[in-house]
Amino acid sequence: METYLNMGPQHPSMHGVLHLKLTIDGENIKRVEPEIGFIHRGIEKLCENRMYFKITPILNKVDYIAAASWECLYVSTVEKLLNIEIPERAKYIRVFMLEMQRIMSHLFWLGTLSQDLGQPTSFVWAMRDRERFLDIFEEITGGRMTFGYMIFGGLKFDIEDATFERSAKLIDDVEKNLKEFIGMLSGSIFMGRMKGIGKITKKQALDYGLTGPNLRASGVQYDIRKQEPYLIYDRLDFDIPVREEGDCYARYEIRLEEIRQSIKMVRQVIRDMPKGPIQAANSITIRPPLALSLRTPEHGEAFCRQECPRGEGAIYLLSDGSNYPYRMRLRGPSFINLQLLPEICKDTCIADVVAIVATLDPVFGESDR
Amino acid sequence: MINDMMRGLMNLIVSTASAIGLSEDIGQIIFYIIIALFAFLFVSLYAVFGGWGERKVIGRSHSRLGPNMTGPFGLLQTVADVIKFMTKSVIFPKGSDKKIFVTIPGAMMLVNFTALLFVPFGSYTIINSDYSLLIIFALLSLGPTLMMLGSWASNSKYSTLGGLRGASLVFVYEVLLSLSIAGVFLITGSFSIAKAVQMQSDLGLWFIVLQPLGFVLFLMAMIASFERNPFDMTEADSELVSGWRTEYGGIYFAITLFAEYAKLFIGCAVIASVYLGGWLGFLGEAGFFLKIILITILMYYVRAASMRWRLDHLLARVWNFYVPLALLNFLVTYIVLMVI
Repeated sequence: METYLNMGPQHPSMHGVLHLKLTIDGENIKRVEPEIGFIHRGIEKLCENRMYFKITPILNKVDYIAAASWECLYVSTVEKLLNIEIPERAKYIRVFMLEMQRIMSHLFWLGTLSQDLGQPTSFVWAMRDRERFLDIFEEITGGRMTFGYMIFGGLKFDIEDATFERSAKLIDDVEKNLKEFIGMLSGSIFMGRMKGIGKITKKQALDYGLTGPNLRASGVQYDIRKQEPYLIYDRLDFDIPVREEGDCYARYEIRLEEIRQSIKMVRQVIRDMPKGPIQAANSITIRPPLALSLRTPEHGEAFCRQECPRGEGAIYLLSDGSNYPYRMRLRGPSFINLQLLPEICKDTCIADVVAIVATLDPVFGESDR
Repeated sequence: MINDMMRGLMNLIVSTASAIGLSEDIGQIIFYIIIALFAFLFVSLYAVFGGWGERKVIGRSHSRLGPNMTGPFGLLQTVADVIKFMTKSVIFPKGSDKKIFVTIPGAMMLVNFTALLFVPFGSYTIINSDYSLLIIFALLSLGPTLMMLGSWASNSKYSTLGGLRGASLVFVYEVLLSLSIAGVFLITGSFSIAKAVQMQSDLGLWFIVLQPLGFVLFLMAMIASFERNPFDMTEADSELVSGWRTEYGGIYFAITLFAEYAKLFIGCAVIASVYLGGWLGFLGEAGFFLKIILITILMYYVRAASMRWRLDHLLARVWNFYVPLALLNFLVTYIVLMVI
């Protein structure tokens, strides 16, 4: 007998406010209809009524788990529009922030995944490690989760060497703790719940426009950091992990491997960190007189894409030469990754849906915008 | 020792009753009422401090502190929770069968306390029976039925799913529970707990040494019958909100939790006496309660370290692997006993 079951938006397992309309037959899922938009704030429209420098804090709230990535994306887009070249040290520090953010974001994902599988221990461990990242971000930027740290042409503040030392120690610890996580998240129960569940074929992944770890778990080697290197990614030595299986376990492995690669990158960045200014000569800081004078070229447009922790984030910015953007379009990877949900959840069971949603790693601030 | 004390108390009460002109039967009834109050108090203390210990152990394994604000070392945390549960208003879901809905938590407690009659408190057992283990298993197996009734009466889909999962879980542990302990039945030739303890004392060997496989399987089946992690799919919080007790709130929720701790005590007492030598030998009766506490802590660690099974995987694993193992254990025990 088929019945209808609501999962979310207020449900302990959902990562935020996803509403899944399940049609179930006993434990088996017949149909899944995801409903999103519960925290739609109209960010794109809000941006049209803000001066450029006032948009950065809003963009921080697009993906609140990984705020730095969207901040950097927006700032890079405006810099592209204005043709500002940022100094070397600023580039390095931005990559430092981005990769630290990626580790933190993936740790958060690891925690929520284990929570969803009924293992709260590693959830709290992940939060414990994440807390130290937040401390470091607070030390650098003054904000724990949302920063407002990057400005057009560079950064607001410089980072002291002591902070880099603490970060280096932190990532050493994270690398060590990853073994504990793997110890907790292995064994036959975990394998049974992850292997062969929620399979995404290569074709499906490409058809639906999946990006990020979810795409790479389906056997497509695609990462903007390698395809179109921005900032200093072309100078760093790192690999893009790829798995062929496309199931939940592949996505789990990919993200773990990405944490390791990010740790490798942060080490290189700290090692090669150059001295010098952190703001370009023609940078526009948030200090009012200068910032108010930011006028973009008439009818300019810029498109910028970068690899966010959840996939490819992109911003298209259209300017009419005034203080405000004429139109700003965001491409959020979570929104696009979620479209596949009805297809891969078909003929699974309730316990699997939770695991599948967890491994797709959506953030609803970003998919609802 | 406890046995002697209880017999002394009984004689005292009966003689006092006859001294003031009451019949011996009334004296015995008064004695059993006092015993019932004692048992209730004892299990309440176990639940309160067991709940505290559980949070503390889980907290430490999470690298948290656990409760540390209410009372010394947070010892009164569970008391505070009970007060909170009592002051909460109970919400009856629309279309729920109120009579069954409110009866179920009490019925669960009743069933578990009935089983407590046959459980040893040290050397004292309220009702000494040669079939005590069978009776305990029979009473514990009523749990899922009540759970299903309660979930059905809640008129909620999450509850119903949780109740159905509970019904399926019976197939996991019922067979395993009796098959794995069958080796002990064969060795002692009886279903009695007291006899098993006496035999271990006579042999000078705990049955955990003679039946290691049986012990592991029995422990697993016991954890499954408590519906604790990794067998907590009946209340899988990330899937079914809170499973069969989603709709239970306030005092009814507290009673279901209390019934669960009574069940936990029964299980730990059975394991401690059947497999770990009971109250004879190591430290005597204090050792028995120490063993109960240690097994309880083991359960906490299992909860902290494990992940939830998927029901169909669990059923497949149990019937393809653990049940044959239990049968093998039974067979080997039988052959060895025949040879000896």
